[in-house]
Formats: sequence, structure tokens, C-alpha cells
Amino acid sequence: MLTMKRVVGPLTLAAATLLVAAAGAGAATTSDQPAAIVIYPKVVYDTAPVSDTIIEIANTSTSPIDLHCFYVNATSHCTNTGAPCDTGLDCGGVGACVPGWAEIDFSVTLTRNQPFYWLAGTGRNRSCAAASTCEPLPLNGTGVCAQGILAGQPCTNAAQCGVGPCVGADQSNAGTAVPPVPESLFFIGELKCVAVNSDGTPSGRNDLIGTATIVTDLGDGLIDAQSYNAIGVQANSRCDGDTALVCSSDDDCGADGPCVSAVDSNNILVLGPNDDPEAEYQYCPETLVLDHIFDGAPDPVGEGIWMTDLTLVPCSENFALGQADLGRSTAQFLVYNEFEQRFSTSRPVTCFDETLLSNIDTRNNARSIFSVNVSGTIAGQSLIRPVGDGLIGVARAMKVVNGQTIEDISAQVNGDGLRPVFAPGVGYEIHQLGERQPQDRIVIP
Amino acid sequence: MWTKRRVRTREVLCGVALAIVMTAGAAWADVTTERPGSILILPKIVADGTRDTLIEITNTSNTLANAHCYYINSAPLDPSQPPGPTNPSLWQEVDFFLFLTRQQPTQWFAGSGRTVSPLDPPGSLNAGLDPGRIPAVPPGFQGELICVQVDSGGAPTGGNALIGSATLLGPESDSSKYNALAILGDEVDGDDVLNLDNAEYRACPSELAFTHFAQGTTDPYIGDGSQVISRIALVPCTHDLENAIPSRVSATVFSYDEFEDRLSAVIDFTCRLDADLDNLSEVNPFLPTGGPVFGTFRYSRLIPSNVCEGGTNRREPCSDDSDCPNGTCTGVVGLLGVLESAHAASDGSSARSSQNLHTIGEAPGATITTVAVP
Amino acid sequence: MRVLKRNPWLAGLGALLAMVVLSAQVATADTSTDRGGSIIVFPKVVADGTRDTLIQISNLNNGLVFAHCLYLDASPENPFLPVNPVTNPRRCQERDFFIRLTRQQPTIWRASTGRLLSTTDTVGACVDFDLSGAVRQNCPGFDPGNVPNVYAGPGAPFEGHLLCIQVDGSGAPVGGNALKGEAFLESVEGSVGFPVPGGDGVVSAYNAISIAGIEPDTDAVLNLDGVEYSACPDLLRFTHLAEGGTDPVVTDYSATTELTLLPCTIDYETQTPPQVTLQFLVWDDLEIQTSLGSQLTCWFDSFLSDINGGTPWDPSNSTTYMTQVRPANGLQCRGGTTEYQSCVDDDDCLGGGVCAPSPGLLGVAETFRYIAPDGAFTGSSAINMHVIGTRENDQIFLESGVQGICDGGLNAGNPCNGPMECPGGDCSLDN
Repeated sequence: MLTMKRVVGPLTLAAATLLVAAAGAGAATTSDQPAAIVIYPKVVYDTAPVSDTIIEIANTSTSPIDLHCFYVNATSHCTNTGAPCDTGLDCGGVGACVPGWAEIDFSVTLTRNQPFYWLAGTGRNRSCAAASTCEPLPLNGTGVCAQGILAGQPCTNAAQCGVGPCVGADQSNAGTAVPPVPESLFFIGELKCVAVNSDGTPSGRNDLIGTATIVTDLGDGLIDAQSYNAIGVQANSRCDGDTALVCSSDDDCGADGPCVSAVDSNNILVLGPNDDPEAEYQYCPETLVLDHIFDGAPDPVGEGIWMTDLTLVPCSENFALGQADLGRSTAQFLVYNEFEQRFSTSRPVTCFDETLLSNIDTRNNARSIFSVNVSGTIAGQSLIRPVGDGLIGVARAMKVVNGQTIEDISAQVNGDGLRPVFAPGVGYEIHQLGERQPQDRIVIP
Repeated sequence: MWTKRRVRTREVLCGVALAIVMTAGAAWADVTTERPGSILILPKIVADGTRDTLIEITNTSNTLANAHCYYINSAPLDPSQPPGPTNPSLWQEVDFFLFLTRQQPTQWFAGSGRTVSPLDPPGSLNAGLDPGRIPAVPPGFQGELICVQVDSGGAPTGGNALIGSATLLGPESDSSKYNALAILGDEVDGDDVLNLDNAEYRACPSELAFTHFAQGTTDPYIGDGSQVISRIALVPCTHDLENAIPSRVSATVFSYDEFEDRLSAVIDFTCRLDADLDNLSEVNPFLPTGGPVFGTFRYSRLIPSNVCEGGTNRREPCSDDSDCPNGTCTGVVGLLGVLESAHAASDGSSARSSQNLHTIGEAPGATITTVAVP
Repeated sequence: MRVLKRNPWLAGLGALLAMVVLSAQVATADTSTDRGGSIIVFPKVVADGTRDTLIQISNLNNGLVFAHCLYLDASPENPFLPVNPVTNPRRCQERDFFIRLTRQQPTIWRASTGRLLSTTDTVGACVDFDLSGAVRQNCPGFDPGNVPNVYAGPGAPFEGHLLCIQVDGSGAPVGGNALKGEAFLESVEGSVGFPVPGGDGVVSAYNAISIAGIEPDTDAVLNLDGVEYSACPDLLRFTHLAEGGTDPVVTDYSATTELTLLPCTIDYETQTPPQVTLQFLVWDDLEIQTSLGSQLTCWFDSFLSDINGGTPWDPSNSTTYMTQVRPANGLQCRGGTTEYQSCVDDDDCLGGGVCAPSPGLLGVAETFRYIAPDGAFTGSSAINMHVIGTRENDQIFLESGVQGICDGGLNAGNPCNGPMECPGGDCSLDN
């Protein structure tokens, strides 16, 4: 056996324990494992340029699953015209651009192992009057004929059986109707889908995976596509004899068994740490870790500069009352550059926040701690810690290839108020650290 | 006249000899082309643009029958080049499921597959209960089809309900047809490894035998300027579909003419062999001998070698244990096949016919490792 | 009088540290794409003159961290011809280097040029320069080390993977779980194959796959068994558009997806090209499933349309598909001289190898849009795959640089690099 001796001092040991424990702290939210709640922090629909989000969601189990989904419309509107806006300049300098928070919900049923998709801008329903490639609903999975000469024969509807029904063991999308997002010109917001039982109560089935792709037609043969995996929140199972223990099987519980679902039937979904008996779902992270290229940094590969925008949504949400009375947080940022130099700032997040990194702390992008002008290096690591409700998010890095500098972009943002269109871009998930101790709650109707 | 009597005697003797040879195996291998089985093998499926294959499968039982079917594409890696050591076969497997009601026949073309649609009008190509979605094979496909009878959960079962056939269509209006080889199931245990050992399923034959015109000989009916060109497709009984490991086969060929003169050769291949009879080995045992009258008709036998079981040469053909370090020369790979003959006239017109090969004896021990169904 | 002001951030961080230390958590046995790890894997790194890869790695810890990084070049022997397992196999050539990151330090480098150790960096920009005919790059910040360039010109493209292992100062693996990373795949301006306006039109990003260290020992064999390191997944699944199907948003464009996979068991010591039989299971939105197989030798990178002609992902059947990929269930020799050959038991494996299950898989998928039938690629996006289950039998064999002698067991007296080469005995370095 190869042997190596190491001297392990107490500090090292403590640090090692810390580090191992930190990394091993349960499952938390996840973007690469099936879960009971899937969150798409950024859903975009736009008409100029044409942009839409392909929402893909799949059932990884062999049993059908019902979902209760919620769009959060975070589009700001002018107080004077009601039109969507980014800043007050969009309102003619008269009205104010007020952020919105409105939710609409709908139901989706997925059959076994079914991948399903819809476009945010058009939804998906029986008539499916949108793109020619959109199959109408319902999509019936394969069932079997219950009677007659064809008993046992696979079928998709009763007509194929001749006599008797086509029994599909609920394997049908019947009941699914996905509305388009409630804005006709521009929409930005999030989507949350919760696995539920047939009676609408939460279900602890960790069977959902999701991916979102924001596709933009920039014209002149240029298409931009940015994908990210939906963030999954897994439901807990706990030992019946000791609810402070999270388990995956009866063996984990031993004498404290059996291992049962921790999700109850009320409409409050509690996200919390593993040792909290009330926590029905896994916890939101204590800290988000965002690797990024500092805004305005020249691309090491080719021409152009990079800009990154960050979308943060709260872990807590009250869909029952349709109010943004949950989901308030202050995001504290700690920014490191490649010289290990550190800067910090903070920003309140209510309901939804999407911003260029270099606009987090200032309206002058070139003077932001997130800009290359201040940091001096290309790569940065930002730690984001929520104070208040938990936060999750997604990042988007975009290349500016039209020769603009960060100063030009700043002037554009602050001048005519038009949203700069950067392309091409990439979406990617944000890393997580730690285990949030306070509970987060999602209240569904 | 002396000559005629001698010929007649020889004919009788040859016939008797043939009968003796064919019955000498005593134990009939239960790989059959005229009875239903639990495993169907169609050794020759072609969909390469000039030819397509109409596949017919029927459930002969009075209950629902499911089948897990596997296409195996053995086209060369570079279809523009001839197969060879530097251009090996793809050995690409694609599988799908069939659902057949009682006594239901079904059919599809390999090149286009079949979709599930309740709207097929009566009389159309896909009218009838669709057996499931059957994928189209990729362009340039040359390979085989294996269908294993399974239960509703996808586990192999020994219902012995399946029969099948394949009609090779083209080029142009030419066609030929052969029956699928059916392997009977006995005490099928339902796992992913199908043992052809006379316990779980019946064994593969120890020999294949067929009569045929000598390669390139004149067709006695069409006359001068005509040729009979035969092409054989051989597949091993042993398939490892889960791990996509093609079987290596070495087979000894004995070919007899009407004078009992024997030519022999050894043919080696991996995964599947589909070649003209005069393109199998350096020595061609299928040549005409004995002049234009005699020696034009031959009786040939193919005897596959064992393969190493265990050891470092596992799955390699062997003749004795010394060829198998740390192993034994007891592995069975088996052999099945079909022969297609084209009778071509001097003006270029031709007609093809297919024939199943006869089976002799039995060699228990081949296995088919199917893909694990989740 | 000095007034000590509490720094709320540091106070919060201290509380975090305390809570994490005190919390009794069971280490996860799964790989992750949104947590730090002791091993991070970048399955797809391309630097071939038309595309390049930006590698970004960060240290999540408050202490100095070292990493041993290994590139695996899987480009074909003849880069101008398609991959052919017989006539033009993948090179499967390893090249490794070390980096060091100070506390919380992020770093970045371009795969084709690498990054040099320099004290004369230009603030705010990476600068290319010619070093003996090779294009190298200096970037501002603490240089993590001398990161090699992987691209040396049109005849020497690179495609393969990058794997970084957290180590201590001596190079021995440690389980700090301090590493995270992202990769940005970009088209190169003016490159053939991606002719978009401005030449910079195709960018994708994915997160590096993190493998957590649990209780790693310090030898050169990293066991991904849920005890030493997290286990690799049993299955990979992802959803995507049909192959060649119309993009639902930009309906003038079609979509194609490229799948990249690498095995979890990699032998960098012998550089034997890993071989894994892949089993795909494909579901359309009518839950009809099709399955098929393929082969991974060294590294798998293929458009779905090139796998059996793309027939399982036919756009006429469905707009979206869910695809699952797993390794075949058979056994393979692990280590020894007959590595990756199929086996039934250890006797089939020469040179001290053992007969073990097929390696697990890790991968990413990248979707491109184009105007059919052969328009230029645009609008690319990459996604990490979802993982299901674990398989606790993968190993990464590093170059130990140490050779011992088997002490007892089957191979007593034979040279060895690790205990797995001495079944029934130990690999003793006391020589």
C-alpha cells in the first residue's frame, strides 16, 4: 500500500472538516437532479428583437405526474401609460416605471417519461394555434384496451379499441393548458412548477427535470440561444420516529423508521435545513457563488467585450394571495478579482431582480466594482449572500461585438434608457455554498 | 444404356448419401423456419437505396404477444469503401418493441419503418393495428433483425408465438423471400441473457447445409451466357447486444460436387458476413468442378468452430484448449444464415431467389445478451 | 480610542463557518454542477482554429489551493480526416500541469493559448504574444501557473476534456472541495465553419462537473466510490429539440445537438484509451421509446444525427425528446495489460487487472441552430446533463511517478504503481 505521511494540525483539521462538511451539506437546490419543484428564474418574451423562451420539462418516472405552475410577471410598467418599461425614460419622462409582481398559474400533466415543452410567448393548449411544430393537446400516452377482442392491445384512444375504453392509467396530458405569458410586447419573469397530487396538494415526488432556452433572432442571420437548467428543489423524506433525520430509505432510519415523505398536504411548502423537522423540501443555499468575467473586459478569444447580467429570484413566494409579501431580501455581494482583492456592495431584491453586474452598485457601469476598469483583471468571483429571504438565480454572459465599450454601454443605459441588446450570449447556473438555516416558504393556492 | 444406369445409380446413391448425411445428426436442432418460436432471426436485411426489405411478423397465438426487436447494422464504417480490416463493420444496434394481438400479422419496410397512426385508411400500406413505432433503418443499412418474444414488462418469455419472413426487394422489380429462423423457448427465466442451451431456449445447429449451383456456373434452364451467382449472409447465434461486442466466427466449409469431390476452406468474419460465394476466402470451395454437366451442382456444409471461454483469448475462435490460455475451447458462437441466388441471363436480366439453409445437429451454449430494459 | 467596528459580512461569514462545522451532514455521493468539488471536469474543451474555450476556475476557500490539471487530447491522429477507430483513432494523449489559487481567487485562461506566468501583465486585458512561434497569452491577476497551450496550428487541433484535481503542496490529492469552474465555447473570428457576421456569433457555456472529495487518501488512484470521492452517476438524461427539427422560436432555423461524453474511469498512467459501450434510451412526447447503442473510445463527441442516422430523434415524431445514456452492463478489465477488454472474472485480466463494471459517464450537450440543409451554425447553447443514481466503482488513475514492488499476493515481486496491481498483496515503496 502506498503510504504518505502528512502532518495534520488542528487548524488544518478544522479547516478540512469545515470544507468537507461544507461541500457535503446535503442536496440543497440542484440543477442536475430530478426534483419536486423546478424553478426557471428567467423567462423572457420580447417582440423587438424577437425573443422567446423554450420551457422544457420532463417526467423522469414511469408514473404520470401533475404540476401546478406559476408565472411571476416581473415586468415593469409605466404609471401613466401602463406600457412595459425599463426605466422612467420609457415613460416619456412623465410617468414612473414601476416594477410589477403578478402571478398566473396553470396546470400541466406529464405522462410517464414524457418530455414536454412550450413557448413562453404562445403557451400550449388544445388548439395550439401557434407554431406549426406545436403538437396539440392532449397528448395521450399509450394505454391498453380494457375489453373486447383487442383487450390488452396498446391504444391511445377508445376508438382504437372498438369496444370499451382505452385504459391508460391516467397516462394522458388531459387537463394541461399552458397560457402564454400575460404581456404582448415584453415579458420578463420567472416560472415555478410544483409537483402536486391529483387534488392539488403538494406531492413529494422528485421526478422533474427542466431546461430553459432563451432564443433571440437578432437578424442578419444571427441567432442567439442561451440555455440553463432549471433549479430543482427536492422534497425530503424523514424518519417517522425522528423527524429531524432526513432519509432516503428505511435503512437510513434503522429503529427510527420507516422513511416517509415529509411533504404534508397543506399549501405551505417549507424549505429548510435537514435538521429542521418542519422542512418538507431541501434548503436554499446560504451563499451563491458566481464566476464571471468583469463587465467591459475584452474577450480573450476574439473581438468584443463581455457583459454579464444576473437574475435573482427569491426562494420564498406567496402565490396564494398573489402578493409580493414574501421574497424580500438584501443581496450582499463580495467580489474577488484575480489579485485576491476584494470589494463589496449590496442590493435589495424584491420579488425579482435582473441587472447587469456593473449596474448593481452604480448607474455608471464603467465605475462599478464589477467592471474591468475597477477590478483590473478579467475573471472575477462574486459571493452573493441573501439577508432576509433566500435567493436563487441564473447568470447570462454576453459578448458585445459591435465595438461598444463599457463607457458606451453606460451612456446608452443612462441616456436613452433603451435596453442594450447584447449578443451572442450564454446562460449558466450559479454555484451554491452552505445551507440556509432560516426557512423559506412557498405558499400555493 | 450403361451411362444412364450408372448415372441413375449415382443419383440414387448420392440421394441416399445425402439423406444419410442429413439425418446423421440424429438430434434435430430446434432452429426452424417452419414453426413459430420465441426468438426470430432474419439474417439479411438490406435498405441501401437500391434494395429494401419488407419484413413480416405474425403472432400465431391466441393471446397478445410482445416482441423486443433489434436491428444490427453491419454496414462498413466507410460505405464508399469495401469492408476489410481497415474498414470494419459498424455493429450499430437499434431496438424497438412490437405489440401484436392474437393471430395478428404485421409488416413494414426496413427503409421507412412504421409509425403509430389510427388514421391509416383501409387498404393503405400501414392500415391495421400498428404494432408500435418502428424506426427506419439509416441509409445504407445492411444487417440483421432479431426479435425476442417478451412479456408486457419487457422480460423475455417463452411463448413460441412468432413467425416471420423477409422479402428482399430490388433492384428494380426483382425480389426474393426467405423465412425467419425461429428458436423455440423452453424454460425462459426472463433475465437479459438468453441461453440457447436446450434448457432455456433450444440450441443452435452445429452445422449448416445447403445445396446450390456452383458459383458462376451456367443456369441449365436459361442456357448459354447465363450465370448463377450466389451470395450468402451468415450471422452468429451468439450476440452481445448490451455490450455491443460482435462475435468472431471461424467456420470450416466443405463443399461436395456430384462426384463426391470435396473442396474445403475456412472463412472468418466478425459480426456478420454478407458476401458472394467466390469472395469468402482465398480458396474458393464453391467453384464448378467436373465440367459443364456434372459438378455444376454442389452440396456445401458450414461448421463453425468453438471459441475460447474465459481466459485472455475469450471469444476468439479456437480448435483446442491450447488456443485459450487460462480458458477452455468450449464456447459456442453458432451460425445461422440465408443464401440468395441471382440467375442472370446474358442480356443482363436476372431473377433472384432466397433459400434458408438447412440445419444439422445442435451445439448448445450460444447466448444472446439483450439490452437491459429499465 | 480605537473603535472596533463589526464587519457584518465577516460576521455573517463567521456564523456560516460555525454553522457548517457544527452541522452533522452526510456527504453527498453525487456529482454536481452547482457545488464546489475536489475534482472538476470539463467534458468538452475545443481549440481547433474555429472554436476556442475559455476556462474559468475559482477557489471557493479562504486558503491557498493547488490543483493538478490534466488535459486529454482526443483529436484524431490525422486531424484532416474523420475519426475512424481503425485507420484514424483518437490520440488520447494526456498533458498535465499544476495551478495554484489564493483564497477566493478566480482565474481564467484560453485553452488554445494557455496562460503564462508573468509579472508584466497588462491591466484589464489579456494580451496575445508570440512565443517561439506559438501564440501564448498573458492575463492580469495572479497567474495560477504556467498553463500550457493546447493548439499549435491548423495541423494540431485540440478536442478533448480537462480535469482538475485539488491537491496539496506536494501534489497529493486532498478533499478540500474548493474548486468550481465554467467553460465558454466560442467561435473564433473569421473561422471557417462558423461564418457569422463579425465572426463572433457562436458561444456556449456550461458548468464544470464537480466531484466532491469525501475522505480521499493520498495515493494516485482516486476512487469515485462514495467513500473517497463522490460516485459518478448511473444515468444521464437531458431534454432537447428533435434532430434537424424546426426551432419553435425561430422557425426558419433547424436545430442539431452534439453530445459529448467521457468515462468516469480514466487511466492517465497508461493512457489506454477508455472504451465504453453506450446504451441510449430515447422518449418522445408520446412516451414512445426507442433505444440504441454506440461506442465511446477515449472520448465521445457526436451529433445525434450521426448516431444511427439520427432516426430515434426524428422531428416528424416529436418536437422534443428526452434522451438517457448509460454505460452497458458488462464487465471490463480495469488496470493491467488487458485494460478495457471485456471479461467475466479477474482471471481474464492480465497484468494484475481486475474485472469490474463498465465506467460511468459524464457529459454535456450543445445545441446549434442553422438554416437547413447546411447553413452555418449560429445560436448555440450548452447544457449540463441531469444525473440519476450512482455507481460506486469508478477510478481515476493518475501518474504516480512512483514505482514499487508487489509485496505478496498474485503478482509478488512484480513492479507496481498502486495496490490494484497487486491482488492479494500491497504495492510497497520500500525499495
